[in-house]
Amino acid sequence: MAHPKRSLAIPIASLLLVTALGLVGAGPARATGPVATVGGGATIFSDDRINELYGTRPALSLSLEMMRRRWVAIGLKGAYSFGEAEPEAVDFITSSKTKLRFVPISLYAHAVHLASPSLQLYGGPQVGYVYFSESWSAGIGSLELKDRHESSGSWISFGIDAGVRLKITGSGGLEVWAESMWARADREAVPGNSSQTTSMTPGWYGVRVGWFWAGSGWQAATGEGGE
Amino acid sequence: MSRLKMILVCIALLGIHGQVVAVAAPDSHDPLAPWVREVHTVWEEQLMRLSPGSPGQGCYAPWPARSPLFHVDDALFAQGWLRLQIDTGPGGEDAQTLRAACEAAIPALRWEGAGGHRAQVCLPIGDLPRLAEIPGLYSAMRPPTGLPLAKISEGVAECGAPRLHSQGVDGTDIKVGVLDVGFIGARGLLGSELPADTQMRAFVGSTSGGGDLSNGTAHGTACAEIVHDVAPGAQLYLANAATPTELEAAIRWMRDEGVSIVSHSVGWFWGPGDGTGDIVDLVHTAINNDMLWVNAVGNQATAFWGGAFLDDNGDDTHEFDAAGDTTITDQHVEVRTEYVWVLTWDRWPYSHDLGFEMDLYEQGELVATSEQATTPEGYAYRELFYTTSSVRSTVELVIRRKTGIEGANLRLFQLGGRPLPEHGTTAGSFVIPADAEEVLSVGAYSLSGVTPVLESFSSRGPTPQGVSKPEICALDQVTTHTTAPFGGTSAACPHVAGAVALLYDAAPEGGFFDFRWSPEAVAAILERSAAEAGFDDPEACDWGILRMPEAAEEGKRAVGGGRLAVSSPARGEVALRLEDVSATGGQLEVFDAGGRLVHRSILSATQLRGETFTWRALDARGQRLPLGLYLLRARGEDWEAKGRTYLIQ
Repeated sequence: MAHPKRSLAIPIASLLLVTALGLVGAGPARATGPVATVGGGATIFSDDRINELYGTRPALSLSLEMMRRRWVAIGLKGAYSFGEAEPEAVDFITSSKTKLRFVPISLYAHAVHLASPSLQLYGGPQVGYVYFSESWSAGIGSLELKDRHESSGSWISFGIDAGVRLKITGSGGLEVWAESMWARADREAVPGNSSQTTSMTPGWYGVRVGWFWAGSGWQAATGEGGE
Repeated sequence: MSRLKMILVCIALLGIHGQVVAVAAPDSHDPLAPWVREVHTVWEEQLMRLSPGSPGQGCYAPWPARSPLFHVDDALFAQGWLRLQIDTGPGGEDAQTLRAACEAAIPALRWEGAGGHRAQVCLPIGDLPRLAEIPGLYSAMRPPTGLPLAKISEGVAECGAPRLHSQGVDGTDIKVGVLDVGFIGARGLLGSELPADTQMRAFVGSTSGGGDLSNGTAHGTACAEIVHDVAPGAQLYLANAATPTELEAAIRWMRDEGVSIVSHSVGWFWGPGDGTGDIVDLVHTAINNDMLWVNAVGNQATAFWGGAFLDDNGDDTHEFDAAGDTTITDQHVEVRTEYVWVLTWDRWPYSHDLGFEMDLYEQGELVATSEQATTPEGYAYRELFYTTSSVRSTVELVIRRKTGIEGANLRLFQLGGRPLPEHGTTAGSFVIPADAEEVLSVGAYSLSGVTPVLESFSSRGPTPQGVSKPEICALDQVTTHTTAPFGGTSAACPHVAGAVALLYDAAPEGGFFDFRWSPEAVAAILERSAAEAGFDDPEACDWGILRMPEAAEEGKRAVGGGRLAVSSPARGEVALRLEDVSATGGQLEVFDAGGRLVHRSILSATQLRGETFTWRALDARGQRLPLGLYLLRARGEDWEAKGRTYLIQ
């Protein structure tokens, strides 16, 4: 099912990202060192059924800001969420279990604003690839029967994120950020069979807290040690 | 007493509630006041749940009754609105006179029409109390509605589907295809006997799907009704097809529409009956696209002969038995009796060097031969049509080898409606594509009181590869709106298709995927849930009678008994071993591919305890049995175990 807002959001996010990447490419040659962030947080799925089944899931995340030119930065980030659930079942089913692994990887372009010498604000579009796998097992004890499947799939996702970096030590500090991502996909009964599907609302919201290590990247943004 | 105080606004609230609710100014002189107050309180509570929050989210309060006799618009209610019928009361004033007052009191009100003393309006739930302010309004209620005179197949209750329905398992989100020949009347049943959103395509006469849906028969409509009865939440896709090319187009359409279960109460005869051939190939395309194919096994068990071509005297005429009888003789046949004979053999599809023909004699005179058939020679398929012209005549059919010197395994069907008067065999009488191993084939039984009785015509296997057919039996002689009683394996088949839809729906939900049982798991569930058939012919129903799984605490394994391990293929002697049998007595029976009992012996105590023993493959006269497939059945009073072997050289 097409969602008009999302239909617009995807090309807009793409356009912003391409523009940002273009700005980085066209800017003064001031490539700086990376800013790496390790963090954790939560993933909240947009789809009601996924959310009801798994709820808000914990997430581990890694981010690597690879290049910055004045107020624009690009980088890669990824996360790993996991979970398991026992879906509701009818009276003859004696066991039911699902397990989830969810790995989004995004390429982002941030507009960076230095609010103070130790505080950075940033935000921008991102485009990503999401790999997910879900295993399912159900048993009917009275029939001595158990069935099990493991399926995996992927989405191409688009969205935005925004965050704050607070420099606490000479080379690092606290980073808090949030993201909202969308994708277009249906829920498949058989992986790869695009006909036997039901509609879903793919996408998620992420909230993360982490510790960043900044080398010259912070300097470039603040002007410290720059050209 | 003001006029306003006299108003009773009776609101028989919504399908969700089915309660009559009244709004009235309490009046100590009004005999209805206590009742009005009581219902009003309930209504107020309901409003508190509905108005402040979001009506669409969980506000369907658990009021007990939902009368089907009053209209409900769930979609409207989910938006926080109601449709009501308002009334001017016994005075009989024109309801149109209320319109201005209604619209003034409730600006959001939608006036949908008026006739005489009643009018129909829609209004937000939160505006309900304002109805009491409208002068001249006598009552407001859910509009009365009519009941579709639905006919539910008796097979629904028989298989235990209502228990799943009551748990919300009704096939929702499952797409079931009914692929048949014709669908007369189907459009007229949308919204009553068939789902309102049923999709239909007619491939008869049009591979693009724009052909004639009715095609002169309501057979498919009755089948679709049964699927809907068993799985009322499933979305149906109806398509007809009369040729392999049309069948292919219909399958393609269903595949593209996301159909996951196909119910096909149609038998084809263009094929060898060994799980191969054009029709089975088409079915495999559906199966390879994740569609589960359910097929009627056929109604030919009493009108079939199958076996090897036998010509001991070398005259190229088939001998139906060891005594050398070369004819199937039908006596005392009434005039204008129709015969349709179809003969196939295992040289499919091309058989240039081996050909057989059928000759039909009436009163001793050759009256028809398959050499006159329109089907070309060179295929392992011949047919013969004839309508008798004499009163109480004798009709004889002869099979002769026209070309070649080799033998073949023959399949002979009489499709004119008369059973074979002699030489009939039941084994192998299945239709195509029920012969495909991956197809779930369905036999038929009826009820004598509460006792299942196998329909004598219900076709059966095994296939030449030794696969038992049908796997499962379901009820026929059931009631549909279109046909009553609806009999045959055609009626049984859609019960199983609907049951599979229920099983798919009952599978616990995943988040990212619509997980469902694998085909193997579906088969295992149906097999292990099936009730023991208890039919005399062990090949009539392999798993048993269709039953939905019982609740966990009540579950039990319906089919008892142990296992019979049999060596196969076997030369001369067949090694046997009983496993997991705890019985003190039993016997071994062996049947040939024609269903004939060829051996019976008592099982010894050591054999029952699991000792390996042999069967020497001899008949009752001590003669070595012909090569081929044999079914072995060990059974006692309360147990049964089956196996099969293929005798070679």
